[in-house]
Amino acid sequence: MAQRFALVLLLAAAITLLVLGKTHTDAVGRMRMAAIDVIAPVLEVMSRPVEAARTLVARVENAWYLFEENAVLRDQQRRLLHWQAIARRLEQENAQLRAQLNLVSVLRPNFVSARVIGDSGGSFVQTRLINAGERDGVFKGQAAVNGVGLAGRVVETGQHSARLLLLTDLNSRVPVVVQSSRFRAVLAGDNSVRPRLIFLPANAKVSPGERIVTSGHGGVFPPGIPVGMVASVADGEVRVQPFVDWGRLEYVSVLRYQLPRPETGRPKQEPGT
Amino acid sequence: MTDGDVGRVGLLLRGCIPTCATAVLLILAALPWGLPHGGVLLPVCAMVSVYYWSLYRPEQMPLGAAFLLGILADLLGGEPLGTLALVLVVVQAIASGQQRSLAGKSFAVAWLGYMLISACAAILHWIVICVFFVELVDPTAAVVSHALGVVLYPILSILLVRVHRLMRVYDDGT
Repeated sequence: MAQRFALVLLLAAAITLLVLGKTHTDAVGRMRMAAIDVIAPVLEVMSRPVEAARTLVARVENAWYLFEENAVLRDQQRRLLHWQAIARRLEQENAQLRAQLNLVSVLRPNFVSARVIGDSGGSFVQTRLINAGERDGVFKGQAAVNGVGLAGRVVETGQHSARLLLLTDLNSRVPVVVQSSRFRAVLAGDNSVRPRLIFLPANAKVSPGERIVTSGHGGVFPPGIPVGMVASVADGEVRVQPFVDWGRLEYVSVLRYQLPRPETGRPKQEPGT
Repeated sequence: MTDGDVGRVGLLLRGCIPTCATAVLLILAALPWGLPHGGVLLPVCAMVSVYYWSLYRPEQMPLGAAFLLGILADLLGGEPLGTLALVLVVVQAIASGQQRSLAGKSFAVAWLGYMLISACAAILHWIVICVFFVELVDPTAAVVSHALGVVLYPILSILLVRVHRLMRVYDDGT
């Protein structure tokens, strides 16, 4: 009898928590991260040997492919040098044109780098815990990138830890553009490895291989962060392969990006002009 | 402190072993191993461990402990708070209810029992998530989690049997 009572009570408690999580998202999120702050040091210490082991495995793997990879890299380097020359020229030209146009400067984001200390996620969520929090200037909504592209955004923050929602999560929505054609869309995660492009204009033509970058719309993410490549286009459904390799996401940089404020970003207008 | 007190404290601490061992297992499962489908490791470990202890030591894996472990798993994994708590409480209730027909039989029976209970748990988990997000979520993760649990059950139970045996040695000692 007592057992049955306990069962009903605990089921009710779990359902209450779920309902509270839905109605008081912020309060429950704060509570959750306060608890994570307590567990984070344990995760941080224990994740070090795991990381060392992963590095070792990666090294052995690399050694195996050393020769093939070397040849590929040499070839790539030759091509990249050519691109570098072009990029330098364009950069210079761009700077000159910007100066001529008196364009509103887009602030260069500064960032804080953090280590991934928990990559559990659950069955139905794709999140990572990192060892930087509000004390380090990490706040909700900021973008997290690694060397190759956008990984996700910060959804919950504690004092020393934060939780990232990956691009692939069910709840992830990122405003993006197709880099070459500038068609706007939203990259929507659905827990699969390849998120979908939604809200593409009806006349938009997208083909596999095209690069997708953040659009900066909404002011949350800086524009132009590489996101992924169009992987497949079938029956109007466009899937994107993110650049980030989720299995190797060990460090991320959280961008502390702020939109240029009107009073500081725009050139002051002289009275009488 | 008398000998009796020491004995009582010892007994109390031993009673916590199943819960603590599960908590440690959950933290281990949450570390960045970099595995594909790494996310299902956490619910799988939680499910197997709670099932095992509810079967063989139900008095030391009470409903309350299953609930708290579920909360810990939700905290670590980032699923809506209460999801795994609900699922694990149900797993504990079913497993301890079926103790007579499952425990003390051959390993295969316990494994089959896990297969059935884990299937129910996976469906429940999926339903809770669908209701929470008000969306028909792709159930692949639930299927993967169930399949992985069934495959990993023998391996994890070797680990749990070790802990269990260690406890029995102490039980005999007192």
